[in-house]
Amino acid sequence: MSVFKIEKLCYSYDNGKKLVLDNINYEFEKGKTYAIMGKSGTGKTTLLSLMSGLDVPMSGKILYNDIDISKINENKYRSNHVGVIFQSLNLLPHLTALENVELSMDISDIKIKNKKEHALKILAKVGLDEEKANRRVLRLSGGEQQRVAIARTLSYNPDVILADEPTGNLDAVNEKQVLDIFKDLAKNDNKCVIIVTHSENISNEVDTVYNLEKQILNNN
Amino acid sequence: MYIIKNAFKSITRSKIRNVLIGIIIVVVATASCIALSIKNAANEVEQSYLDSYNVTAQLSLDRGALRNNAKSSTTTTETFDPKAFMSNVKNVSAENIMIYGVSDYVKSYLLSIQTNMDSTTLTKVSDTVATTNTTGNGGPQMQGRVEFTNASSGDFKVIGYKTLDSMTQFINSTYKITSGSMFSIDSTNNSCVISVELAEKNNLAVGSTLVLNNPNSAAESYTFTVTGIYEDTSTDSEFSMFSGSSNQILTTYTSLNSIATTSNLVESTKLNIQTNATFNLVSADVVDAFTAQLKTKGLSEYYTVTTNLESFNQSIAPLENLSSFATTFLIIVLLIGGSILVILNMLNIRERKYEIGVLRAIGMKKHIVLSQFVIELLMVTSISIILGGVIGSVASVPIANNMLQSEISSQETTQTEVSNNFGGGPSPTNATQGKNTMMRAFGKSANVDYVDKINAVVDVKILLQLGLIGLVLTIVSSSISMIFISRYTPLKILSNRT
Repeated sequence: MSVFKIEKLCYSYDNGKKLVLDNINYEFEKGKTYAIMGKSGTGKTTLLSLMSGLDVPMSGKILYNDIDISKINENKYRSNHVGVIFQSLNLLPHLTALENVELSMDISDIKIKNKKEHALKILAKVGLDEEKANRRVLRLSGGEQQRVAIARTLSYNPDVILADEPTGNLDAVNEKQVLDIFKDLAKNDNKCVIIVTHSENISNEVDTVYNLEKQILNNN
Repeated sequence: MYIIKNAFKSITRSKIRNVLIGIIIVVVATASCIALSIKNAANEVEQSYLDSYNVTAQLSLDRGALRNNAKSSTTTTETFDPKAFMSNVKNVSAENIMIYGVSDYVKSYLLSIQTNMDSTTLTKVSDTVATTNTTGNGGPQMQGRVEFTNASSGDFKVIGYKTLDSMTQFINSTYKITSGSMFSIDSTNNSCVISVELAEKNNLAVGSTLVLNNPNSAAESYTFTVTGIYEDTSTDSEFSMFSGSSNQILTTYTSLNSIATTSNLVESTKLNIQTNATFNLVSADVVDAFTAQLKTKGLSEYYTVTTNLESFNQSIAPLENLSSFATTFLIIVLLIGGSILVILNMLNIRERKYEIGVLRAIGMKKHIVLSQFVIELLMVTSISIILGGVIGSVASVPIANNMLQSEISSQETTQTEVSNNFGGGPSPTNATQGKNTMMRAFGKSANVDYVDKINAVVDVKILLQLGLIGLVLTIVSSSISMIFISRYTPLKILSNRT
C-alpha cells in the first residue's frame, strides 16, 4: 500500500509562464528507497518542496496515507509525518548536534520521556558518538553534519524521509555510509525514503529510480 | 517550556546585542521611573494641597460691567451721573451675607462690618486712612465697596466682628492682646479693643472710654469702652507703615450694627457701612455652583465671586510645570527608546531570518516562533526594567526636588521681574504654607507659598506602570517580528538564503 501518492501534479513559476511539473502521477511505498533524478531545472527540488508541504501545487494532489496534505496542518505534517533533509541541511549553527535533534522532538508531538537519551541513541545510530553530539554543528565535518540532519528527521519517527541531494558534498566513503543509513531505515525501520539526487551511486543502490524528464515522472 | 529554554539560549548566544538592548531599556526605564514618580508625586501633592486648601470666596463689584452698563444706559444728550447710577446698584448687606452663607457649598463664613468715624477727643496715630480689610484669610474681601452713598471720611476705622473666627489677625497672631482682654463677641455694650499706639497717643487704658462721631453729623456720637489693647506684630515695614492698624477700633458686629441702625434713621447723614465677608467653600469644585446659587438668591449682576484659587494656582505652578515637563520627557524617552528598540529588533530579525526559516521548515508554528522572540525580549526587558526601577527609585527623590527648586527659582525670578517692573506683583518668599500676610490689604497680591518639596518615591503603582511600559515596548518592538514571521514562508526564507 502506498504511503505517498502524487496525482496529476502541476507546478509552474512566474504565474504559469514557466511550467516545471506537468501532470505528475506516482506512488511511494513504505520499506522502499526511491531516487528522483533529472537534469538541473527539471523540478526535482520543487517536487520535494511540494511533497514536504513547503510549497503548494498549482493543481493536482499529494496524498499522505490517502489524505490530501493540503487538508493536514502544514506544521503538524512537517513536524510529525515527513522528515525533510534539506540540500543545505538547515541545521541551527548555534546549537549542538544533540540540541538540534532535541529541538525537532520538542517541536513534534512525539511523547518521549527522556529526549536527550533518545536523541543520543539516534545520533549513535547514524554514527555520531556523545562527544560529537555535544559539539556545535559548525564544528562537525560535512558528513557529520549530514548525519545530524538525518538524525534530526529520525528523531520524531516519520513515515517518509525526503532528502534533497544528501550526498552532494560528501566524499565517496561518506556517501556510501549515508546511503547505507537510508537503506537501513527503509529495510529495518519500514520507512519510505525518497532521495532527490544526481548521484549515479545512489541510483544504483535504491529500489526505484525516477527520471524527471520532460516534466514527467517515469518509472525506471 | 522548550521555548523558554531556546529563548534563554538565544539571549546568551547574542550577548552583545542583548546587552545593548538591555542598556537602552535600562535608560528608558530609569528615565520613565523618574518621570512617573515626579508626575505621580506632583499630582498627589497637588491633590492633597487642594484638599487641604481652604477655598474662600468673596464678593467683588464688577467695575467693568458697571462701566459698560453706565455707558450703554446713558444717551448722548444726558450727562452721566456716577453717584446716581451707583445708588441704583443694590448693596450687599450683612443680612444678605447671612442668607448667602446658608448653603451646602459653604462650610462657614466670616462676616464683619466697618465704618469710618471721627472723634473730637481722640488724636489719630498717623495720617494714614485705614482701608484694611480684616476679615477672612487675608484675601481682598469686598474689593468693590458695597456702599456708595454718603461717602464719608473719618480718621478712625471701626470694625464690628460677627464671630471670633472673623478676627483672623488675632487667630494668626499678627495682633496680640498686650493688656486687658478681648471683648465678648455677643456683647452689645460697645466694648472695643484698640491698638497700643492709639492707646499711648491718647493715654487710654483698659476700662477707658472713647467717643466717636459720625463724620456726616458731628452731633451723632457713640461711646466705646476699651476692654483690651493689642499690638500689631507684623514685621513687614511696608505693611506697618500703611496698614492703618493703629487707628482701628475693633468691636462686635452687634454693637456696630446697633450704631448703624441708629444712624440710618437720618438718610442724609447716615454712616457709610461696609460689609466684609469671606465664604469658606467646601471645595474648589463648587465655585461655579455657588456663584449660580448666589444669583438665584438675588445677588446683583454687578457683583462677581472671586476666589483665592489664583493663589493656589500660583503655589502649585512649579509643581504643574514639573509634572508637565515629566510627562513630555516621558513621551520623548518612550518614543526615542521605542524607535531604537524597533530598529534593533529589525536588525535582529534580519540577522536571524535563517533561524526563523529553519524553525518554520521543521514544523514550528508561527505563533510559537513569535512567542520565542517575544519571550527573549521580555526576559531582557524584565531584567532591564528591574534595574531601571532600582536606579530610578534611588535617583527620583533628589532629582525631583532639584528640578522643583529650579522651577521655583525660575518662578520667583519671573515674579520679581513683574514686581519690579509693574509693582504690586506677588512677592516671592519661602514662607511656610498657610502663612497669612496682609499685603492684600493694599491691593498687593499675597506672598506665594510655593510647594517646595515633593516625595517622588517609587511605589507599587509606579512599578506597575513601569511593567506596563516594558510590556508595551516589548510588544511594539516585537511587532516587526510579528509582521516578518507572518508574511514570509519558510521556503522563501530558505531559498533566498540558498
